[in-house]
Formats: sequence, structure tokens, C-alpha cells
Amino acid sequence: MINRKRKILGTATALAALMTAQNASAQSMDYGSLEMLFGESVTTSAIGVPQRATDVPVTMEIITADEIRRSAASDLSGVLKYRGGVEVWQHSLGSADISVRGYNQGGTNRLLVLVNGRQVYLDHFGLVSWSSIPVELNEIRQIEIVKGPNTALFGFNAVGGVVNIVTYNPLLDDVDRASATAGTQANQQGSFVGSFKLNDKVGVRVSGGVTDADHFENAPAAELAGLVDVERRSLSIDSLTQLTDKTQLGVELTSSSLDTVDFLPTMRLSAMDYATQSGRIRLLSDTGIGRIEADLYTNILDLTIPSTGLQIDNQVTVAKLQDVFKIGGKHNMRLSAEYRHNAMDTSSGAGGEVSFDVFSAGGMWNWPINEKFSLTNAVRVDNLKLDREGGRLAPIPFANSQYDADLLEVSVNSGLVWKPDDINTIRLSYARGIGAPSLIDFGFQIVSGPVALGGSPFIDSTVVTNYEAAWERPVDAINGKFRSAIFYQESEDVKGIAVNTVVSPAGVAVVADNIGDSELWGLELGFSGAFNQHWNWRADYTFETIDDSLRNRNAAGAIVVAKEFEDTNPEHTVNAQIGYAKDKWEIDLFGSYVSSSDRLRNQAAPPVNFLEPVGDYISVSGRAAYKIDDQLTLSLQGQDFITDEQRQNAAQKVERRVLLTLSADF
Amino acid sequence: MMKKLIGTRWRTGLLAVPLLLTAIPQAAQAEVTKKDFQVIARALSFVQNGPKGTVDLAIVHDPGNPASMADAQAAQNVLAGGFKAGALTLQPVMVPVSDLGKVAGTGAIFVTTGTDAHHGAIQGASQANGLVTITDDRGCVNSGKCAMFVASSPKVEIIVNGGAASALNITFDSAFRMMITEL
Repeated sequence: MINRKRKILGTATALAALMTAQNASAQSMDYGSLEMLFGESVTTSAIGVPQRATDVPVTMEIITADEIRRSAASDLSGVLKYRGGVEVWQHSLGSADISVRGYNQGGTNRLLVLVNGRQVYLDHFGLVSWSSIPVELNEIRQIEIVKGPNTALFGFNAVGGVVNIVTYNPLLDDVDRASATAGTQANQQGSFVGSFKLNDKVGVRVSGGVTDADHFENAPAAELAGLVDVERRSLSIDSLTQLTDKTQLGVELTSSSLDTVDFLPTMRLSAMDYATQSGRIRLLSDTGIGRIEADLYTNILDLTIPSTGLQIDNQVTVAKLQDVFKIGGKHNMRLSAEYRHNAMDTSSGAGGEVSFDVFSAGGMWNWPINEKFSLTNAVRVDNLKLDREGGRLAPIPFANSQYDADLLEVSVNSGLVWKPDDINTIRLSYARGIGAPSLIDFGFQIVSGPVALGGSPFIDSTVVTNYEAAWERPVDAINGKFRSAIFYQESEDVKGIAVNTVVSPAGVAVVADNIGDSELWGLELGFSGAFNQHWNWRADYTFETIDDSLRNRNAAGAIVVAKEFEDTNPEHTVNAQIGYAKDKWEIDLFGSYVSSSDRLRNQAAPPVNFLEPVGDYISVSGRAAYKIDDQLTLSLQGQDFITDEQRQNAAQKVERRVLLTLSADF
Repeated sequence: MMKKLIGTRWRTGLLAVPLLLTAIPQAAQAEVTKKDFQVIARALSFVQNGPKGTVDLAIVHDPGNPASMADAQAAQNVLAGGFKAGALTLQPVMVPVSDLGKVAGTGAIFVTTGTDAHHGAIQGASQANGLVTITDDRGCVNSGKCAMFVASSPKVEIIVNGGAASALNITFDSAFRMMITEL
């Protein structure tokens, strides 16, 4: 059992030391003012320093607060739906797997998700439980989606992409909003965001949310009986204090709980019971040697998966220090150092704890060579040291002394931006991303029927290499812009759980291993525009095709390892949106076409793993809102509303949802 | 085995779309107007210990130069009665190059185009009063006589001459510095 009190106490002590060690001077990023100044979105998610969206050396999208409000969504996964290159597979209410640049699956773990830079993906396996993220849609300033590997900046897990959720600044922004929602599936939601200025130097933002709803009800009978209704509770307190003219202190506490239904990495539906807590403290200082940020946080997860008997007790603590500075007025630099400790009880039945420490150092150099060219290079080195202690299941063929992996991994991101004129922007980029093994991959242990399932201390990191060319430009004829990207991606040493069978006198164990490589080719095209003052629209097309070389089938061709991407990735996706806003009305319609593909599924009877065809489909959602007065807005949201239920994935059919929301600004 | 990615027709069609876009003409560059002063006002808010609230902006112009007069008149028209953008409200104070002593008491200086022959004197006045100089004349910043160049079209462009700013003892918010061009 992890000694949380000891760890939290240690964290507080370290924070106190950190605070006294700094000699002040800094500002948190004033997104609002910079956005108004430059007339476009600004971001730090591309290279770790503030940039205009049109200057970034990566392919990315920024979803603004207005777009979030006008989406038909009632949760984060809904906001990300209908976006090019982002695949949202909804498994039930409050449950979705989301990938960027393909490779989606149950429990997908190729995406780094952050809230204001704090990781909110779950570090026991690297997956994301979107509804357990303690953030309310009404407090989000923007969501930044970086497509492709970016581990040289953010570290492990950012191999498919990065989603950074940026909330309003507690000190600079005043957001006070409450909403109540009711709808089909007995859906009842309440959300609150309040900003409080204790004085002109201390700002606090408090947010909370409650959701109760029925789960989708068309799963196979064997799984349906074990599913649970959605129950989400979330609370976040975020504060920022101006210590001196140039130094700010941020303190954040969050808590969430979620009962939901997930599609497991084994490709089976299961009830899930998540509980998360986090504590964070940051010091931001504008000093003579640059903009220094010291960041310390700890994330705690209690996860119960009743269908497997798995009890996950995971805590990750991260300490980061970074300095962003400019040399000679020309060269933007970022130096960073990071330490993380990630620990998990191996299982409630087996006892023991598996953990790793990661020591990291990184550097980024952004050089605007001249008005036409800018070059960015980033390198990060991670040293992971694995450890295990305590009891173990007898059939697992590894002694604790063998959990001594010492991985040294190098991540690289490099990008050249060429602006041949005032209109066109062309980007060429290369990335080498590292997907390190998770604690599940390394060392979980659980009894599953007659066998013991376990991780392996000998599993290697997945290395994802990405080559990309992109072009974008404004198009006056449509009062909008055009964007495109073509990319090739290699994933070496894809990881699988339950891969190798080991028979010993103590029993049978099936352990994790790397199962081969995979390649992805893709193309994205997108247009957006506006007309007649009140109308806006966008449309995008994404083509992605995957070629697997995986050791996932037996000699007879049956799938024995639940990993398959070549057949499960839909190759063609088209998204479109059109919106109208005038006076008190806002009306938006969203649609997507997804081509047919097979999806991996698991069942109790042979064939245990099989591919289930999912035909092509069209999904449509929409929102109509009427502003009753300066404070009240009434909106009607329809999600996937053109059919009662629709097969969009292998888990279960997606049901139509209709919601009515009353929101108040105060 | 590698799958065939896109059929020839698909590929040809997809490539044709972006190529066609290059034929679409773009709008001509805008002149100095209200939009430029929106950028100027917001940029001034990133000057550390810079002007706050309502700020008198000295419009330095050369009455003998038509381009300078046109620029000054345009500035006065935009700012007349007070021009609010972000946290600042700018009020125009017309200052001919022959009477640079009038910049004293203002919060910042806007250097119009067509004042090249007077850049040295303007710089002297700005340094004497510790006032940041902003201009729509790129040459003034390139030569180090002005601290900041601002343009708003076709996209917002801000250039700061580090030497000129340093001579005025002016520093900028670090996030702002990362997003502009420094000479």
C-alpha cells in the first residue's frame, strides 16, 4: 500500500523549500490579452514557449471557448468530436476512447492530456478517463490539440499527440457561470464555475460538476448485466497569488469520482469506478535569467474494475523546473528538468508495489532565422529506473530482483517553418516520440481464471517516428483559411498485454511483451470560413491507413493478442460544421462521415478475440441556443440524433441523446 | 504488405485542391488606421511599468511633409475623444517636430511616417522623458531611433529594437517578447 500521507507531507516540505529558494519575478500567461493583441489564438503547447497559432512548427488545432460553448457537447469527448485527425469512439455515456492520428482502441494510451500543463491521463496505463478529468466545460479558455509525437517537450505518452486544456486564469479572468441540464438517458447535470478575488493580488476559481445518467443499454447480455449508470462528481479549486510584481504562486486542488462503463484494453465492456485527487503548487517568476516555472504536483488514482477483480492504487508525483528565455533577441530557448515517481500496487490479490523513477532533462531552441524561415529543435532525455517490492503471484516468472529495468530514452522534435510570403505557411517536421511502458505493462499481476496475467520488466518502450509536411494559408474568397498536412509515422515495438504464455510448476502465466511494428500514412485537408456576417463553417477530410507487422495471431490466423490496427482504423473521415449567430440566437450543426472498418472485440466463447464489422456511418449533432436576457441562456442539444441508436464501434451502439440546458452568467 | 494508399484519381484530385488555392488573390495591405492603434494600445500594456489607464499619446509629425501630415491626421481622427483598447485609453496630443518639448507629460510617442530627418531629435526627446516610441515607419526601428514598429495588416507584426528600448530603460513582459521580432 502506498503511504500517501508520507508522500503528501514530503510534497509539502519540498514545496516550502522551493518557495524559499526562488527570488521572485513573473506572470502567468495572459492568454486573453495576447489573443486580443495578435488577433489569433496563442499557445504554449507546441514548443513550450508562447507562440501565435500561425507560427507553430507543428500541426495543431485550437478549440476556443466560443466553439466549446457552441458545440453540441455536454462533456470533453463531445467537444473533441467532429475534429479532423481526432477519433472519438464513444462506448457509453461518459465514456470514450480518443486518439489523435489513428491507433484508437479500448484503453488507448498514446495521448498526453494536460490541464494547464498538469497531466490528467492516468499513469498506471497511460489511458484517459475523459469524464473523470476535474474540469468543467464552462471554465475552459481553449483546448489545444497537437497532432503527432511531442515527447521531446512533454515526455512519455505524447506519441499520438497532446491535448492541453487551458482554463481561465484565476487572477486575470472573471468567470461566473452555472448550468443545469436534463435530457434523455435520465441525464441530469449541474455545473458551477465561480471566480473570487480576495483582493487585487489573490484570485481563486472554484468549479464543480455533478452528472447522473443511465448507461447505453445494448451491450451483449453477458456484459450488460455488469454495467453501471453514470455518476460523476468533480471539484476543483485553482488559485493564483501575485507575490511580487513579477512572481506568482499557483495552488490547485482537485477531486473527482466517476462510475461509468469503459471498453477495456482487452476489448470488453466493463463497469469502472474511478476516484482521483490531485494537489499542485507552481511558482512562476520573471527573472533576469528568464521566465522560470517550478511545478510540483501529485495525482492519486483509486480505480476498481469489478469485471476483472483489478484494484488499481496509483500515485504519480512530478517535480518540474523550466526556464524560458531569449538570447540576443533572436533565439527562444527552453531548458527543463523533471523528476517523477510513479507507483502502483500490483493488484489487490497479489500484493506488492511496482514503481519507477524518471529523471529527465530537455532543451528547446526556436530560431526565427529571418522573416521567411524559423527553425525549432527540441531534445529530451529520460532515464527510467524500475523497481518492485512485496509479494507476487507464484506463476509470474519474474523475481523482484529482475524488476531492475534502466531505460535511457531520447526524444526529438524538429520543425522548419517557411513563410514564402505574407499568405502561405509551410511546415516540415520530424519527431521521435517515446511511449514508455506503463506500470501495467511492467508489473501488474492478477489471477484471471486458470492463469495469472502479469506485466514484464523486460518490455521495451514504443518508439514512434513521425515525418510531416503541412501547408496552410488564409483564403479571402471564403473569408477563412485552408490547411493541409501529409504525414508518415512508424511505431516500433508496439506493446501488448497478455502476450507470452509461460508454464511452470507454479502454474500458467501470460505476460506482456512487445509484439512488433506498425506504419501509418495520412493526409488532412481542411477549410474554414465565414459569410454574411452571421454564418461560419468548417469542413475537413482525413485519410489514414495503417500497415501492421504485429505478432498478434497464431498459426491458424486467430487473433491471440488484443492488438490490431490495420483493420480497425477507418481510412476516411469527413467532418463538417455550420453555425449561425444573430441577436439572441446561436444555431450550430455538426456532422461526420466515417468509413467502414472492423473493430476488435472480445468475448468469453471462442473465438475469444474477433473482428466485428462496423459499417460506414454518418453522425450528426447540433445545438440551438436562445439568450433569454443578459444572464440566462436556454439551449437544446442533440447528440448523434439522426437515429435512435447507431453502430459506431464494437462496444455497443451509440444512442441518441437530447439535452436541455439552462445556463446563467452572474 | 503495404496497402495501396490512394487511387490515382483520388490523389490527383486531392493535390489539385491546394494548387487551385494559389490562384485565389488576397486583399491588398491595409493602411494605418483604428486597427493599428488597437494593436499599439494593447502592445503598450505589455511594457513593464509602462503607461496605465488614460494615456496622452504624442503624435509627432512634420507639418512640412504631406505623408507625415496624412499619417498624423489619420491618427488624430482615430484617437479623437479617447480611444480605448484593452486596459488603455489613448488620447492624441499633436506634436510638431519643431516643438518636441511638448512630449513632456505624455505617456508615449507615436512617430509618423515622413519624419526621417527628425528621428535623431525625436529619439533625444523620448530618451529625455523616458517615453517609449512607437511607429508605423519600419525604417525608424531598423535604424534604432524608435523602439517599436507596429503593423496590423495583413497580420499583426510587432518589431522591437532592443537597443532603442534598452536606451529608454524599457522592458517587456517575457511572454510578449517571445512572440515578437527583436532586432
